[in-house]
Amino acid sequence: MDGSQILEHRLRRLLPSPDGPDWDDVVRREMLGREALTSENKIGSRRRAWPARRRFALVAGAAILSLAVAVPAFGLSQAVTNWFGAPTAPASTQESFASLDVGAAPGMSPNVSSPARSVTQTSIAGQVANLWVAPTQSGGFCMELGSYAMGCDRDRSLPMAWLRAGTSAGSVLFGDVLSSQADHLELRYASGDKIIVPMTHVSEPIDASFFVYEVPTSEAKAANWPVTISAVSSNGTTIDSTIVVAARTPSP
Amino acid sequence: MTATPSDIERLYRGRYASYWRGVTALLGSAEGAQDVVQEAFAQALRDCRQFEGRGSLGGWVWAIALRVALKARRNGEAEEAVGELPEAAEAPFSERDPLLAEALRQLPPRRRLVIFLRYFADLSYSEIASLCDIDEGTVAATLSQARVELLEAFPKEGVTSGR
Repeated sequence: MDGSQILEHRLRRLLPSPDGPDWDDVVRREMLGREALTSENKIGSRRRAWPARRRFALVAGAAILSLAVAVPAFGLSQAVTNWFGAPTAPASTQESFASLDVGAAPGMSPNVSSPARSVTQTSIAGQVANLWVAPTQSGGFCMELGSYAMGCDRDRSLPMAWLRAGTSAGSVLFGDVLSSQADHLELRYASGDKIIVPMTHVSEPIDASFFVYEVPTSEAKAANWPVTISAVSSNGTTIDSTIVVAARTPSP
Repeated sequence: MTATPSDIERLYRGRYASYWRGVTALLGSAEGAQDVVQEAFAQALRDCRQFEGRGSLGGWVWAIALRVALKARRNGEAEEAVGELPEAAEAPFSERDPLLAEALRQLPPRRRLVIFLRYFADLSYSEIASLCDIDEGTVAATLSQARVELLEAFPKEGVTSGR
């Protein structure tokens, strides 16, 4: 081999080999990006704060955390939580919220303004988990479900948002709608099956209604996705709806 | 002439590895490269109708990938300085071939970028020319200069003669 061939050989060997391509993921990202653009055009919202340290996005009424899939079911018991009476989070959780500003891109810090509080407790994978919420300086809030996932609607620009996280037993879906009238969440699978999930409204300064739902393994199959979630008032009026895509190809 | 989603998918499936290697070289790390490639193709899929047929579709998507990669490296701020090897690049490169890694690090940014685009991203001279806004002759000359510099970093074979 001459020098050029040796060089080319060494250059080609310099990098590891990639994992396989994932076209489904490209399509998902494109869809989420389109929803984000549509929402920005409709609402004229300011750019959202993306905490840098975790790979998740809060877009156009759909917040996604791409982790694994599927677990047992649970729902919040319907309640109204008085913000100022809600228990404050331990120091470790407060630090977790504070760290959202660290490493954030310029103009992207959530700027949590006061301590996080537990708006409700649930059971995830057999363990107690708190849904922590902290208000931001811009009038929005950030939320974290146990140690599973967290997201922010810094500027209160997302009428409805959700996150999905993997757990040791499957997955959990949680989120909020910016309405005090939301009574329950209707989760409708692509197969047509419908699940009712009670919601909890939290008073000012949060003024939003929250839901948490563990996805049973039986409901995680591919034919059920994507899923439509709708926040519904007590008289049956749909307040808002959005689509939850599958993070990965669910089990058949 | 616009592109269709099928065109984008075909390009993705056929040249994913090339895009991944090129982005890995730019980022200096395999970590995050997949994310950049996925985001670049998602944008290309969304904007495929904006492709005007000037140059190759692969080059057009590479322009998107470069912007996404630079933003990822600069924490959201895209900059003009392409081809810089970030500090983080030394680790993965050094492990496999310390001599070559150091030689690459010593290259001027523009020559290093052209090397990356040619040997990692597998781009043609015309695609590199279009991306870097130079003519193909300059691409050839830049590659030639870069090769000479890199080869100079390798020890020459000793010649022993007996008497």
